[in-house]
Amino acid sequence: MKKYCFSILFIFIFSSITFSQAIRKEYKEMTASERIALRDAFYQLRDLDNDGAGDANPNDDDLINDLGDFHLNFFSFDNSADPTQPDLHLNLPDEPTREIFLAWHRAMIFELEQYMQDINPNIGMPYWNTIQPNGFDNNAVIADALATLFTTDFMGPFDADWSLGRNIGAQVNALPDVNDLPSIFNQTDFFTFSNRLERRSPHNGAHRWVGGVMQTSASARDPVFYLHHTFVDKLWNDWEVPNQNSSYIKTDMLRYDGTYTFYGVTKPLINPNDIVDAKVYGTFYAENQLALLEDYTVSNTYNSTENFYYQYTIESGNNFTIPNTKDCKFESVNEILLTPGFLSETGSNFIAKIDTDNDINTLARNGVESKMGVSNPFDVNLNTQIIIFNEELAADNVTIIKSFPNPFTDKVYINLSKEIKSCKIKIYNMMGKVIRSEIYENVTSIELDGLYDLSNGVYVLEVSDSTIEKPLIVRRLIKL
Amino acid sequence: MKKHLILLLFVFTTSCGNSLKNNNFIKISIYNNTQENITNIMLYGNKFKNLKPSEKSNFIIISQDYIKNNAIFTLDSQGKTFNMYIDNTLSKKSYTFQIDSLNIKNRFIYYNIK
Ligand SMILES: [Cu+2]
Repeated sequence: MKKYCFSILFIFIFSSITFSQAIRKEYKEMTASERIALRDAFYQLRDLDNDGAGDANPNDDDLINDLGDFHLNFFSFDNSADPTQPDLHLNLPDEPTREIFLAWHRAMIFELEQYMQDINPNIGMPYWNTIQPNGFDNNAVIADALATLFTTDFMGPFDADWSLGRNIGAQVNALPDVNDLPSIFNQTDFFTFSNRLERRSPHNGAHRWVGGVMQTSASARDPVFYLHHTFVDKLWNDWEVPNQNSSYIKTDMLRYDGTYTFYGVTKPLINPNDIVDAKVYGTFYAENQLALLEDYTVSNTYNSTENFYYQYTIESGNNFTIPNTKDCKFESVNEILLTPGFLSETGSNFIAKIDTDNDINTLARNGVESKMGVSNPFDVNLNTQIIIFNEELAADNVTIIKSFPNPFTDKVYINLSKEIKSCKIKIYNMMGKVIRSEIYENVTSIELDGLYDLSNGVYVLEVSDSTIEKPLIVRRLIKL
Repeated sequence: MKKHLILLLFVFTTSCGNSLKNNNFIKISIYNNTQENITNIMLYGNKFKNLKPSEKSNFIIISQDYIKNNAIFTLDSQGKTFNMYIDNTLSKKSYTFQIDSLNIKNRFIYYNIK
C-alpha cells in the first residue's frame, strides 16, 4: 500500500515537468537542523519502503544505488567497443549530437531532491562552492572541510557506512581557484562553455580532491557528489542567466526517455532544452545570505504547499505570483522582504513565517523521528593503495625520432628508431592550419620534400603513429 | 642577414630546447600489472594500445594542455568500462602508469606512477 501511494505521487509530479521549488544554499548557510535532515534523508533514500536492513530485495527501493549505478553504467562510451551508445559525459567538443552533461545532472539532482522533499518538504539540495582564493593552502582547505563538510552531523559518516574510500585533499592541486573561472565564463557559445566546465577543475577538481569513489564513474554513490554537482548546476545557471544561450541537439536523455522504471515509476521523457532555465524546476540559488525569489508562478505541482526555507534573508518581488487557490510558504530564521511585484492573488494561500525555534521540522515521514537508517555499504575494498610518485624510468622504449635539417630550406628528413606500420606526418603553420599531411607505411625514414615554396617562418612538425592517432612527437621547425 | 640568421637560430634553439624542460610535453606509457587484458585505454585524451597482462605500451608524448584539461583515465576490462578522474599536475618529463588492480564494483583503477 505504501508503495502504491508513492507510485501515484511520483507519476503525478513527473507527468508534467513544470514547477517544484527549492532554495538551494551553500552548505555553510544551512542551519544545524537542515544539516541533520539532509544527512538522514540520504540514508533514507537507500531504503524507500523503510523496512530496514531485513529487506529481502534491497535494490528495488534504493534510490542512491539506482542513480549511482545508472551514472556508472552510462558514464561514457566514447572510447569503448561501441562508441555510438548514448552516454552522459565527455561528448564535447566532437560529439555535440550526443551531448547532455549539464542537463542530465540537473535532472538527476532534481529527481533526488523530489524524493527528499517527500521526506521533508523544506529540503533543498545545498551546493558546495569549491572555488578557492588565489594561492590557497590545501591543508587549510582540508581542515575547513573536515570541520564543516565531512562532519558527523553531515557528510562524514557515509565514508565508513557506505565504503566510499574517500581520501580527502590527497590530490593537493585538484581544487579550482578563482583564476580557473574566466576562461570558462567568457565563452558565449554554450557547447564551448559546457565542455570547458566539464573538463576543467570547477567540475573535476572536487571529484579528484575527495578521492575514493568520487574519483570514478561510481561517484554518485557519495552524497557529496550531489552537493558538488549542485554547485556545477549553479555555475551553469550563473552563465545561462546573462547569456541565455543554452541549447541542445538531443531532445531526450538516458533515464529520462520515457522508458526507464524505478520503484514502480516510469521516468518521464525530458527534453534537455526544456530545462535549460533552472526555474523550470523552481530552483533558486541563494548566495551571501540572500535568496532572491523573482519571476516565478507558484503551481503546487509537487507539494500542496510550496516551501521556500532559508536561514537568511528571503526577498521576493518582481513578478513572483501566487495565483488563486495556490499555496505557498516562505520561512526564514531571520528576515522576509516582500518588494513590489510580489503578488499573492485573492484566493491564494500565503504564509510568511519566521522560524523562531530554528528548526525545520526534522521529523521524517510517517511521524517517525529523523534517523540515520541502514548503513548499507556499497562494496568493501580494503585494498586501497596510495599512489606513489617514484623516480622516473631511466630507460624507455619510446620511438626516437630525429628530424633534420633544422632550419630547413626545401626538405626535411625524419628518421625513426624503429619501423612504424602507419606513420602520419603533419606540418602546421603558426596559425594552427595543417599545410601538409601524409601517411607512410612500414617506414623507418621519411623524406619530406617540396617544401621550397613555404614562406619563411616557424612551422610545427607532428609525427604520429596513425593506429593510435596521437602524436609521438611534436617539434618546431624553421623555414629559411 | 647573417645576424638575422643567428638570431633566429638562437630563438629557435632556446624555445625548442626549453619545450621539454618546461614540461610542455610529457612522455607517458602504461604497464599492465594485472592478470587481465585491458583494452580501449585512454589517458589524458590519448589512446594507448591494448595491453595483455605484464605488457607495457610505448611512450606517448602528451601536451600539458591535454593533461590539464583531459585528466581522465578510461579503459575496458572484464567486460566493464572504467572511468576515473586523475591527477593533472604532472611535473616530470616521463611517467609510467602501472595499473596494479581494478575494482569492478567501485570502478577504481589502482595504479602507481613511476
Ligand atoms: Cu557525472
